[in-house]
Amino acid sequence: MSLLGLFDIGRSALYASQTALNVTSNNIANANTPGYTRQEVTLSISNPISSAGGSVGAGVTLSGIKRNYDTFLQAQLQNQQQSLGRSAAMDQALGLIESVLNEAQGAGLSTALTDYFNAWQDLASTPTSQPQRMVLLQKATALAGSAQNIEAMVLDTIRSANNGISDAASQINMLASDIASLNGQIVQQETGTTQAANELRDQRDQKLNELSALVGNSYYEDESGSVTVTVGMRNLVSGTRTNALSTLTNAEGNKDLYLDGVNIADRVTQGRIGGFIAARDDIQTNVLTPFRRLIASITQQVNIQHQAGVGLDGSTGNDFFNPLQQLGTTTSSAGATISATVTSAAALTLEEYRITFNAAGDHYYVTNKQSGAAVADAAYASGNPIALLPGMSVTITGAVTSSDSFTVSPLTNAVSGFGVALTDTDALAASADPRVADPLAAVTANLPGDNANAVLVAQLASRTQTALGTTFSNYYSGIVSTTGAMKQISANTLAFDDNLLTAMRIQRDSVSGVSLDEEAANLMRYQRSYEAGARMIRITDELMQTILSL
Amino acid sequence: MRITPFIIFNQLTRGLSRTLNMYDAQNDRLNSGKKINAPSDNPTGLMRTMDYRVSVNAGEQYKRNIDAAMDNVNFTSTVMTSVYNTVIELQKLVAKGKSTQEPQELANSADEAEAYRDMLQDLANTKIMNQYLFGGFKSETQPYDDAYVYQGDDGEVNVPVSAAGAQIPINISGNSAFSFTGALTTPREVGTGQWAHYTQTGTQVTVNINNDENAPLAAGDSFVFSNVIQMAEHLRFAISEIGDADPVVSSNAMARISALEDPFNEMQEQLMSVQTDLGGRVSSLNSHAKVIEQNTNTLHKAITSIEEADPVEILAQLRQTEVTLQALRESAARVLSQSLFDFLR
Repeated sequence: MSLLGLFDIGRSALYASQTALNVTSNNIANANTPGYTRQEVTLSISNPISSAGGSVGAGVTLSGIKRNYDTFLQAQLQNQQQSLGRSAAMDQALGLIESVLNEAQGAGLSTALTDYFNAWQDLASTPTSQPQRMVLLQKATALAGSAQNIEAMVLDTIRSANNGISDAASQINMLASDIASLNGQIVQQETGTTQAANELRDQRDQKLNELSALVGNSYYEDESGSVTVTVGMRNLVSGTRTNALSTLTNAEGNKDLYLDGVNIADRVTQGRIGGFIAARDDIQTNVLTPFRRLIASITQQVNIQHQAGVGLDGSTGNDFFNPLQQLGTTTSSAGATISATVTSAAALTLEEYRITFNAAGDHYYVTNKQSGAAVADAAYASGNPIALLPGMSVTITGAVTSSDSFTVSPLTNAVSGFGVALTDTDALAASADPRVADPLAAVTANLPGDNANAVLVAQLASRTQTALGTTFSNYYSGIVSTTGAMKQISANTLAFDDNLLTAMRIQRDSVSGVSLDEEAANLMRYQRSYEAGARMIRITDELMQTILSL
Repeated sequence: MRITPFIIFNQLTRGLSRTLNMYDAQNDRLNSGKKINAPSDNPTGLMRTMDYRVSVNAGEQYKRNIDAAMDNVNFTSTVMTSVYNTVIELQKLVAKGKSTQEPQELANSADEAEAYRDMLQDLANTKIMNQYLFGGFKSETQPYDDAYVYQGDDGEVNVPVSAAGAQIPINISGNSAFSFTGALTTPREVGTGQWAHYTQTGTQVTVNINNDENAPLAAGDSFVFSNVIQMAEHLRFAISEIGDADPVVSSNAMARISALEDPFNEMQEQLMSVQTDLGGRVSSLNSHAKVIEQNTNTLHKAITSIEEADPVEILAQLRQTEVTLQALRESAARVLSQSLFDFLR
């Protein structure tokens, strides 16, 4: 062991302490950086030198800078981010709907609905009163306005959800390209060495976190250090290549998610996108469609009863509200078209139907769009009317395939078309038709004082409606209550997910987080060992001097 | 487990945020006085209060219907009382007419009868809120024209007064009030050897005065009436004919007056039963109103029990939250303000 060897040992001590101080300072500087993983120097004994007296140590080497990272925790954290992203999006969307229907604060349809039927009661007490008739028309107009407001706000919320999906998709594309380029850099930096690219990996983890908040995904790292991310069972990022996520509006007016040419919308259940898709579907099934059905039922039943009565001007058969005439259809087919008309508004069952076909394109199946229950099926011939759907006539023309589908609904325009058809107060039918009891009577026989028809219309409010299964008001309070329940569940889920994520973050921080106290202690430690190393060199230098001055 | 100060810091901020959230929610409840401020606070509770409110609202509407009906029925009753009193006066004239009177008295009686007849016509043509009270469905046509013939119909206007579907008629048609059916059958001796025979079809009564007790259709003096106004007119005419020089005319007139005695008695009874019916309607309306009031009270109590927040309880919760908030803030201040660096030289 030569004297110069002592220099080497001292030098290695200095170098090790210096690097350690570097790393510690880096930790301190990045203490607040999100996603930063605490680094530590790994020191090991340098290869000893054999000598006559045995092995002699040769100092310290820096064997690596360790990144305190737990893969398992990180994967769990990503999963939880996805759940939280979904819960947050759902809670946000459902919160909007809840405020539209917040009956506890006086918003919503309840007051307008009861006011309208009360106006019929008042008319029954004074059937010839013109002011009372005008009030009734006003209340009806107010009811229509209220309903349309509510529908507009619900549709707005659905639109925001759809927009949220497109926004998230463009953000995801940016994150995907970031991840891809980081992949490239990490692979480049790590090839051929045993050192991990700590900072780049931290960055990539951060991007993956953000991605998880947006969409459900799974990822795995291969031996070269590159990460493959799949969304909806298709590759989003693979090495340095990405596939773009795009959105397309489908036949129902909703945004579908396409990756690599495949529609993955029903495979994405997590993340913000998953939350928006689920919220959108929930709102459409549990709020929009029932609300439309309620208004359609009111329109239908009031019109039926009103047509049976006689107005002050002797007219009968008049609609009170704009009748349900427009059927909404959607087409998902390349070669065929659908046409549908209402044959009898009174016979409509206020259900929505979906029509699909078999592989050969010669047999069709009609199912209830909400419940999926089979309604009818028969042989398909282009241009022939579809099997009797109550109250409507539907014809499909053209060649069909097994992937084609159509929907027919009397509810789509029920609220947007909702309005008072009568303008003349004298046409308001408060009187019953005397020809029912006596076919030979004149239609005006009971005018002007009869109120029997007004009473019947007023009593519609307390009658159980077949299409709804209960009264108008009860059905509506069911919608409000369901909305409240959904929001309550989503709020609870959000709180749960949030708490769980926090617990995981604590675990992660426990492993990877920086503690200023620790780093301060490390600073002291490495400073001392640096001083000791420097002292060692000086002593060695003095020894050399001694030798040289011999 | 290794804990870093940042973990504690994060926990504290979350704790503060959570406590502030609680504070906000409690404040909300205190402000509105209600436990349910959004459907998600208590979905089933809200559904029930909504349903109760619909019932309360319906009850209030029925109450309004009852009030309107009450107005009509009370007013009708007042009018019928006047009609009844007029008929009593007419009965007195009939009694007077059966005894001999001076020509001046006769003239006065005739004038009185005319006045009562006109009064009956006015009463029968009463209007309420510009609609004729006794016209049935024909509420814009004058019920009794100047020939005292009924122009209206028998329509009954029913008004719903309870959720169970009970309805109360609010009007009486002219025929029900001022006519009667099938009540006079017994012939009556109205003078020496003279008999009055009554035949009725619908509301029209034919009085035939002849000499044969057992032959209702034998030739004689006959006249027709359908309602009490026409009866009054016949009385007036008969009184004016008593003083006629022709003894046949005079005797016929006397006979007619006697023949009108039974019809007027019958009309008096009819009027009493109409009043009873109206009284029955009033008491029915009152009892429905009472039931509605009781139900409404019960429902209000139910709504309050689900919805109402107890301010005392909330204030206690608020105090607790404030204390928690204060504790968190103090602890945060202590923990976060120091680290090892403060103690290094």
